[in-house]
Amino acid sequence: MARIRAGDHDAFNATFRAHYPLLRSVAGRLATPDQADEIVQDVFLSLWERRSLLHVQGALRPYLLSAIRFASASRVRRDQVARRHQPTVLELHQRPQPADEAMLSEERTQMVRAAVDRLPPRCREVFELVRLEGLSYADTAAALGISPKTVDAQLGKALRRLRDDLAPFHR
Amino acid sequence: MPSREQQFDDEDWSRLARHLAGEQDETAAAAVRTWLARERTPVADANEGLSTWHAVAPLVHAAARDRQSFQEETDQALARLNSRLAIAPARPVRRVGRLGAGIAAALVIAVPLAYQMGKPRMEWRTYTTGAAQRSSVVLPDGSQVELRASSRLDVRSGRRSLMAWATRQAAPEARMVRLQGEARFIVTHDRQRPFRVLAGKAVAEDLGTDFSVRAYPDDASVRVAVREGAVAVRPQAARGDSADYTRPAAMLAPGDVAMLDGAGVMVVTRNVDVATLDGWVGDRLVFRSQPLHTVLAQLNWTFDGRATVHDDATAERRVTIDIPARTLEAALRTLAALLDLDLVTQGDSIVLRPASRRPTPAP
Repeated sequence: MARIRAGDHDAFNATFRAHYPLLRSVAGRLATPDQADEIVQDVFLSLWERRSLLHVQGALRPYLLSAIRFASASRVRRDQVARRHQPTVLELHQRPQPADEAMLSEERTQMVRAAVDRLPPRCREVFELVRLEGLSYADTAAALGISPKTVDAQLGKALRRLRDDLAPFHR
Repeated sequence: MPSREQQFDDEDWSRLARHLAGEQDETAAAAVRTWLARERTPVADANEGLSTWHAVAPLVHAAARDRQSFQEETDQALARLNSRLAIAPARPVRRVGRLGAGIAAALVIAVPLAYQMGKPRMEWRTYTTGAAQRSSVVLPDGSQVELRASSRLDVRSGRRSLMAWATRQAAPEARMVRLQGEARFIVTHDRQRPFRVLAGKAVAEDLGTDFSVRAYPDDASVRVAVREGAVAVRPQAARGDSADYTRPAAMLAPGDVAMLDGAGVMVVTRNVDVATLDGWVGDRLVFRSQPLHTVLAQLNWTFDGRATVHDDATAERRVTIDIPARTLEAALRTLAALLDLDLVTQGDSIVLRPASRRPTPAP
């Protein structure tokens, strides 16, 4: 980080390479996947432009994750303004069909995906970042701007709700 | 009992989730395991919570694949970023003049060289065991492998390519081993780098687990048995060095055993007493209600011995034992005592037969 502040472009490139896959994946979950690449670029663009002003305390990853959150939120807001006058389409989710033994694993995967999508937004984000992205509670908290304690509570809630929603899996 | 004993409360759910997420030190994790094993802990909630966590595994793998593809797109993304920054490194552009032919000649050498440098340097390290041998291997990442007799384990050491090294690129290489024979794997948790076992026509992939794989060359089928964690089993792709992701995976939870036969048909059996399959690991012979001929086949194989049964009726007798595996003779003596059999040496083999009638001692 000190090298980036000093204007070392190689250090900047190395940081980008090291963090790009995870940050893009997280950005895709906080905004939409097709916006993810640009969000990561926005973050690094701003990082480079403001490098002389930056004072990152502690690890760089939580800092970058938190920057991803701000960039995602502002991009989502921008897109919402653009769509304000378009008709809203409500997504109707179907309850999962009862499972039987012969159910193909592809169908099961889709059922699980649908169940995760049905979680309340905050709950879903916590679950996805911890379970699917493998982030620690601390990194998840940084990425979502909440406390680790909230991560803990939301993850428990997510697990219970998914259990209820995926009842056919447990028979 | 009050009904609140029957169900998880909010804190219980958080505690289970914390445990599954690996967000705890070993002491706390041990406390949770004790809690889960306690009688009054609601069994249905605990089990369904676990199976829910593991049911999400396909999404975890999908996310890992996405990150892998983003990894491959990193250079393009960086190029776009640098063009936006307008500080793209100034590259001296040389004109192809009279020296053109010379440069072309240099390219003929340089291009294959660059390709070679860009390739990850693959190195395989091989561990083998002979008949009646057993071996413990600790892999560079801390994962532990118990290798059974007549087995061979090839471990890929994921060296970063020279190019990746030169550009200081992080290289989250998948951990990969090839197995012929049988082994138990206790894999160190690393959520970013799945651990893959290529065996027979199967690929078992996991994220921090205790499981065993059997794939002897003389047996076309592959067996994967899970003790802890979650393992995805897929048929191998035609190229043979990765899984065939177009085919559905079997997601195995603790107690699940998958058999993949030579034709690529997979059968999963649930609630198996997996510990009996791994009896060889602790140098113990563990059989539950197995016919004697099966037990002897196992003993002969473990000790490279020649023990046979005298008659079919004896061969079919059921055996349930759990004994230390020291020598063939010791094991046979225990069996003989248990089933009231005699051991008779015939040439280089030992025959088990019903104990000869001894005259009943006079009262």
